[in-house]
Amino acid sequence: METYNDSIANNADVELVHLSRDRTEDAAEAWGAKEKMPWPTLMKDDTDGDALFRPYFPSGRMGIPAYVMVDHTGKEVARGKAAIMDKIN
Amino acid sequence: MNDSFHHYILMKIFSSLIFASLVCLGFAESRTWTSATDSSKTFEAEFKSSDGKSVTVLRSNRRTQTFKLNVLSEADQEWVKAEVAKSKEPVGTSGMTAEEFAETDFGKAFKKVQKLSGKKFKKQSIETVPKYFILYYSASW
Repeated sequence: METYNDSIANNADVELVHLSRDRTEDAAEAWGAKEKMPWPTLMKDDTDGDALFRPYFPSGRMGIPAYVMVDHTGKEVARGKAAIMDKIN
Repeated sequence: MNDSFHHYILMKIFSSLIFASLVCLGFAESRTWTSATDSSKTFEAEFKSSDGKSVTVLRSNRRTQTFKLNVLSEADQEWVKAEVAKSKEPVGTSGMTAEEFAETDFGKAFKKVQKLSGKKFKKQSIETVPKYFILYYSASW
């Protein structure tokens, strides 16, 4: 959250979108409320796998948390927290 | 003699291409406008601006003309209103408006985005489109 507040929250070039992997919306909502998540969230059932999952994890495997930075067309520009922070800062 | 003639022809072709390019650039936004009272009466012009009650266009003679919106067909009036609304939309650092983004294949994937309002998630679309998105995959478990 500190990294988000320092480098992303007020950065007009970047928007963080949370793609929840929680199985239910209730679980995602409870966690979001607990952590006071300020970012937009897409629920698992609302996530278009063809657009937001398979292009970045073609094997279908993904460890969480995972971070992928893309441009506004969906093209990957960085992967992993460290590489993304390097790109932003 | 042949060289001079050849050169002349090349210059004619070149200047024609330049002229055609300038014409295309100048009339890139031109559209057909129709009278509200007689649909057979139309004219070609480029939309410049509207204050909601009147509209200013650029005619083919390169002169601007302003007239009341209600002299135009309903379809033209709706078109003008849509253009004015579009021009007021904020443009993010991506250079796209939210409406433009929502029509792209990638943008469509964000249609059901929600944001926390108090302790509940509420539907909230992407309002300004940044250069980059960080896709953060995570769960509570």
